[in-house]
Amino acid sequence: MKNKNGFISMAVVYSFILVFVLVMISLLNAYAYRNNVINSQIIEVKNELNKVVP
Amino acid sequence: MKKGFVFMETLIVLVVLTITIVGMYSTYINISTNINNRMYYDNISDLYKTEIIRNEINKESIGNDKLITITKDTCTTYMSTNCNNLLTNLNIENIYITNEAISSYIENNEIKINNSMREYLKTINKDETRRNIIVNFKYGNKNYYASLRI
Repeated sequence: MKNKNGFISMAVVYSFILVFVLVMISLLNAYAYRNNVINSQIIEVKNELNKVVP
Repeated sequence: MKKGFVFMETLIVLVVLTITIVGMYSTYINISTNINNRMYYDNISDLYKTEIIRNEINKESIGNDKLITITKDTCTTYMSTNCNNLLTNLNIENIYITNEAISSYIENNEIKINNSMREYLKTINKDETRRNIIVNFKYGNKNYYASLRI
């Protein structure tokens, strides 16, 4: 019987790396999205206030 | 044959992981710098307080100086007589009125502005040539800034 231990362990290691990278990317995406939403609100408020220069 | 494959596999995995991690790290640094800036610069409440101050300032009293600095002691020249109370209630330390492009204030070391103000100026539109009012708030020991056109 052919020894497949190396293949299985590497498959497990790569799966963990893939899951880690995917989780990190999704967290960063959520972080960036919220950041953009708040930034756009601030820019909107500032622009509106700048429109009404007395 | 097998050794060559393992070497190539390791190399490819290392390259892919390095690119991914460097990309994620730079994105993270960008976002966290942005969040840190937002904590101290142009808060929505500070923007509205700046608007109150902008409405209080008498436009005719502003000359053509490059930079006007208004403090609690000198505010009566540009604002109404009860301005000291207003500035104290709104936690305002200084009010600056700029008259030239923002970049000229950052580059020119002769203009006396503090370092935190210089850092704030770097984050706003440097080509802005219109007159701006920049208000320096102080909550605790931290400096907060907000600016609007005037």
